[in-house]
Amino acid sequence: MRVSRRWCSKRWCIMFGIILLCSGLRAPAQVLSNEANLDPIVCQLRTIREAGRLRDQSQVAQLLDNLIHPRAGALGTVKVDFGYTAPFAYHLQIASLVALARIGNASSLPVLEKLRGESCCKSLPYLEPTIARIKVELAHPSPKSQEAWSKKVQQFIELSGLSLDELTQGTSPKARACLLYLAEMAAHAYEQGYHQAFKDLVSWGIRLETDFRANLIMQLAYHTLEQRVEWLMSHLKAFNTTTHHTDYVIQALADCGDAGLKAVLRWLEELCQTECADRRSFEVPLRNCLLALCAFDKPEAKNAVQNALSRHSLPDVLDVFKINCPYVFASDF
Amino acid sequence: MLGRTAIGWITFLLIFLLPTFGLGQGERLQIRFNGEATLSVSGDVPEFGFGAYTLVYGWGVCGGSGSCTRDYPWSILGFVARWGAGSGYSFSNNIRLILHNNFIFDFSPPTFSIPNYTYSYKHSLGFIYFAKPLDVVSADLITSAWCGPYSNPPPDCCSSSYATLDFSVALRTSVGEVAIGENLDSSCSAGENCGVNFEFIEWPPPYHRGQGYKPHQVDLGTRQGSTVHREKVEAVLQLGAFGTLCGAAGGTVSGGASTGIVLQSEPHPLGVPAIGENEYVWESDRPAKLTIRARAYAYTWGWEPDLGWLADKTVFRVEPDIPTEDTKPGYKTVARGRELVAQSLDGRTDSLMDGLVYRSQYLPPKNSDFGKKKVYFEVEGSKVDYAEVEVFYPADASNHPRGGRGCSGRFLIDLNTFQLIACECNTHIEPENWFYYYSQVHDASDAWYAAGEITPYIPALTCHGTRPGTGDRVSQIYILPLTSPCRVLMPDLEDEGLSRHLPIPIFRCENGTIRYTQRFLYVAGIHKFIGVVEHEKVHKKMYEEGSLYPPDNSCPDLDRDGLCDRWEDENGLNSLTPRTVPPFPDAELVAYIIGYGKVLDAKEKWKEDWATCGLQFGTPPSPFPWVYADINGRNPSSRPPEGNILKMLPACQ
Repeated sequence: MRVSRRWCSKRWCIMFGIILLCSGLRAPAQVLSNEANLDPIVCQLRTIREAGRLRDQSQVAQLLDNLIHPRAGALGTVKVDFGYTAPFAYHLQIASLVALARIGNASSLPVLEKLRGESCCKSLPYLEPTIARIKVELAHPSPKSQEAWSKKVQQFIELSGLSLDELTQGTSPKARACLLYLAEMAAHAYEQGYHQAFKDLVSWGIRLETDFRANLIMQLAYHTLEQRVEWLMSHLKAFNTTTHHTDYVIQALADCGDAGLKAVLRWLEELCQTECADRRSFEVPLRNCLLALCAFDKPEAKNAVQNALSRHSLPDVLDVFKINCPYVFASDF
Repeated sequence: MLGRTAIGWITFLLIFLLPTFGLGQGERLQIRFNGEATLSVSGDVPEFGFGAYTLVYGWGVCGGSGSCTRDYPWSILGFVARWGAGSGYSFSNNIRLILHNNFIFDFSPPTFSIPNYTYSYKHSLGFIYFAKPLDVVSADLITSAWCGPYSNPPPDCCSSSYATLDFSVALRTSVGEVAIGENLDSSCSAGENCGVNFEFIEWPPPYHRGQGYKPHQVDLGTRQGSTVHREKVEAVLQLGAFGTLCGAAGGTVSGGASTGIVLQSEPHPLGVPAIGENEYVWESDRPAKLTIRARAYAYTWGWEPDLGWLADKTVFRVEPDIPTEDTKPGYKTVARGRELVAQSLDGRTDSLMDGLVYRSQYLPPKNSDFGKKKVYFEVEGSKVDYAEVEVFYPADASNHPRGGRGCSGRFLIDLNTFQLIACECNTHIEPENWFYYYSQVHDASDAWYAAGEITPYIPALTCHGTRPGTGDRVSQIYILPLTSPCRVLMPDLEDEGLSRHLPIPIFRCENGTIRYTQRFLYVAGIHKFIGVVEHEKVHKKMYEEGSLYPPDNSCPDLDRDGLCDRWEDENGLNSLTPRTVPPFPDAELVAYIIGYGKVLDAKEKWKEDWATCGLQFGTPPSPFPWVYADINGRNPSSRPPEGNILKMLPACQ
């Protein structure tokens, strides 16, 4: 994994510009080869996540099926990393529960409640919080007062079967699931006009910052789209290595759509202007930048990654790039 | 008594006996019979006939003299002859009757064939040829001489008379011979006055009863075809009689030979355990019990045998021995219809049970107590034949001897962080049999079997911690029930045949970096166990050495993948990302690579897998013993992916 001198020179950046203009003309065979049989598996995760993000009611039945019968092939038991390390079947189940929670469709409740006794699902830490969230979202869709918000939060905690102590510690998987959902519900309340939502949680002893994802949602909630992108980019650029936190930032950036893509492409250009002093100061940002582009469903993102990889060897990025759909970096976000 | 015997054969000849033909022993072996009878006769004409269940053929079958051959589809021969002479006539004749018996074995060798799996199979067949009963008897042997005035002169006086009766009857087979013969006579003299005098003698009829058997072996070869075993039954009769004018003599002889063959029928002597035949499994209960039905079957054509005489001489037994505490397997053999049935003595009740029965409080202690055995069929100490069998233990039961390493508790990983939530080994339990016996074959002394509250999907986990007092870093491996050869790991796999397998992703070195080959090695049975154990051993070793979750300040782990960055750099991993090869986390990547190499090294261990669902149970998986395939089990192959496949670390250096 050595960075070639050629890559470090500005000459490469000039070449990059040319190639970008003529994208697709001279991509090396290695980049184009698509033997990734991970495709259907990862793309399934992408579909699940998108269903939740877009609150696609039509996907509820499919999500429930994914939950009960997570089809992950050999990866059903092989441990893989999508925000955290777990057998891929588990990733699919958690992603399905998160999506169902976000959609909040009442028709999913009877099925989910029945799964409490099923071996497939009863031990999933997101099951009870998901049921609880759907119920409180249906009961209090847009709390606009402290009283309404308090009622929603209290009911949610109660229905989740979690003690306040456990929630405030925020270390158990179930507590972290609850923190994620509380952050998302607070962000929604904030967006709907109740601006005390996050502050109330703090005053009730709920520390969203103990969970990276919850904290991320809280930070982003206060910002406009442009500010979010700027905030996320600043964090992405600040990583001096790639970690699981990077995954969540990238995922959040991808959710920003075109504005996010524009910012990442701009960063790629900036990187081209950078002299690299050592491996870490150049390879890490480039990796993070290209990985971020892999999360976007846009041809310009794909072209940019393809062209970059034709000039520089980042095998791990190549593996992500080869997946035939935008990559999902975290199944629980 | 004597008369009954003679009448018996005659009656036997006259009363019907439905012909029975070879009952096949499955597709592997069919048994047929055909025969022919050659009759040679000369001399005077007696009342004579022979056949199986009726007098099918008489003297005239050959036109009265000479010899001829006729079909004879029975393995039983009965004959009867009545003759006599007197009033100055003599009688003399010779009969030679030969039955040629052909016992035909139609053999179909096993055709099962899969890549990378070779097996041999037994193609010799042992059996007993027997003749029982084998009898010659006589009846109504009479010589009579009358002296005195002759009622139809001339002459007007039978001044002296005599009559003779001589005969010999022999019946020969390869397993015994019986024969009788006599020279009998009567005589008298009328004296000078032609007084009446006579001698009428009804002679005690001689008889000879016999029986016999002999073990034989035939080699059926390795191709589909027929092998014939030939036997011969020969009856030779010489019948003579003479009587002077007032003398007469006559008699009746009969005889018969009932022949057949006896073959081991259960376990099938040509069964091939290597392809799933002749397999026996200990029961899951306690006490543990194993029953092997052991039987032999008599093939006869045209008659029903009574095997009581053979049962007393027959023993079924197993080698190598199988431990048993309170039974005597093969204690007795009884005849039941056409079958010889092995029985065992129940030491608790002193009663007999069908089969070779083994019973102990627990299963046998050693893995080597299971596996390949031979069930012998012996008669009077001679091995007639044997069947190859395999004995298995029930994988998912827990009736092995006590003292296994197992516990029940909570074994939970936070799959969000892969940190332990609970690693609580609360109550000692006995592991399932597969763990107990696999641990004898492949070193798993580091590992415990664990059950209870368990994180889903994972077949094992390694708990890390520090030893109280010393602060030493210690790990404990827990092997979970999903590692069982019988349990489904991947229910959604398109190829259901692989659903119980453990998939191991395969990596290669490509241009100096580790790359995912897109292929998995799917392993089952004991290989699955070895794959799981060796994977966890990597985690354990790395943790105890300090390269996994390094202690504070000892080694940076900037990418937070749990691996010491320096160790990653030294071993060809990228310390700047937690996924050197997406989507595999680095710590798992290391364990998969090393685990793969260890499984390859243990390839031959399948030969010691005696678990149900294991690699020797039932039909072997194809290709054998494992398969390379893609993520959904598609494109199976016996060959690993091409290139520099990684089996150890450091890699790509």
